[in-house]
Amino acid sequence: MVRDFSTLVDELKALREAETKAKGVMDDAERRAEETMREATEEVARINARIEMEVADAYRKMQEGMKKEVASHELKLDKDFSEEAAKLEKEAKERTKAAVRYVVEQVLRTEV
Amino acid sequence: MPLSSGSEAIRRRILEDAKSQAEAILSEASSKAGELVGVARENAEKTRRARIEEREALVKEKMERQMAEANVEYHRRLEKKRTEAIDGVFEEAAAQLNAFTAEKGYSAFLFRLIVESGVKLGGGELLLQVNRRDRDSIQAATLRKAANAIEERVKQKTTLEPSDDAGNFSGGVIASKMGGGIFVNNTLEERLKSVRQELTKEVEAMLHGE
Repeated sequence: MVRDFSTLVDELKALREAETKAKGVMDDAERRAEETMREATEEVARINARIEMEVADAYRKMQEGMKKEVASHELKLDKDFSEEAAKLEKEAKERTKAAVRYVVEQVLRTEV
Repeated sequence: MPLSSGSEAIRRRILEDAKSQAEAILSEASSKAGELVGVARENAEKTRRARIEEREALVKEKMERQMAEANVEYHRRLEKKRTEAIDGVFEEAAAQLNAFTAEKGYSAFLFRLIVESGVKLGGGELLLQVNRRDRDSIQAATLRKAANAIEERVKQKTTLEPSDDAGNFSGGVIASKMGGGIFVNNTLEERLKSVRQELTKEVEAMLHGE
């Protein structure tokens, strides 16, 4: 009987150790699971941050492109204006005399 | 000391269960994490596309607005050039008309203006306002001659009397019925203004061939 009791105590002890070890395994799994979720959350934050950066970068490039296009358009209009204004001035210079003469004639023309 | 077979089975079972549950916990966490990241990537891509499209529309609208403003400014500047040329014509015309008032032909022109004004008013007793120089130089005989010319045309007895008030204009006449009311403004300034209203398009066409 004495021997049997001692065996029983040893066996109970061994089972308790197994339980402790099992708890350790579970705790370790819980920690690793939490770590996995934490890393996933960090990855989500990184993804969102990267998207924000990409959008900001794309917007900046769009604005730069727009500024260039507008500047190019304005430059073309300036060039067109210079050419057109020079043409108008040349025409006016050549034709002003006749136009003035015509206006003066009209003012001086009476019905009697 | 070796355990009895029963106890050993229990011990193994405890450890196997723990291992199995640990694997389940890790598998679930890994799956959740994968799903979380996957959904985040998908949402982020959608967000990225939506925001870029939104900004593209904004930038396009802004660019089109700026280009339209530049176009309007271009046409405004050209229009200003055209208007300046037309202004130049009428300014030069005004200067030549002003110079004409000192020339020999001006007296005859003033005579015709007086007759024209009198005819428009239908004759009668008329008051003539001219500038100071013309008032000092106009002769009574000329006024009688003009009155006769008006009478001939309108078949109405006509008298012309110069106003005491000299007009502040370069030449021409403002004729009115004695007693006020009806008048004809036949000053050079008014005639030029009237010609400008009527002939601006024509002058523009003469200048720019349109």
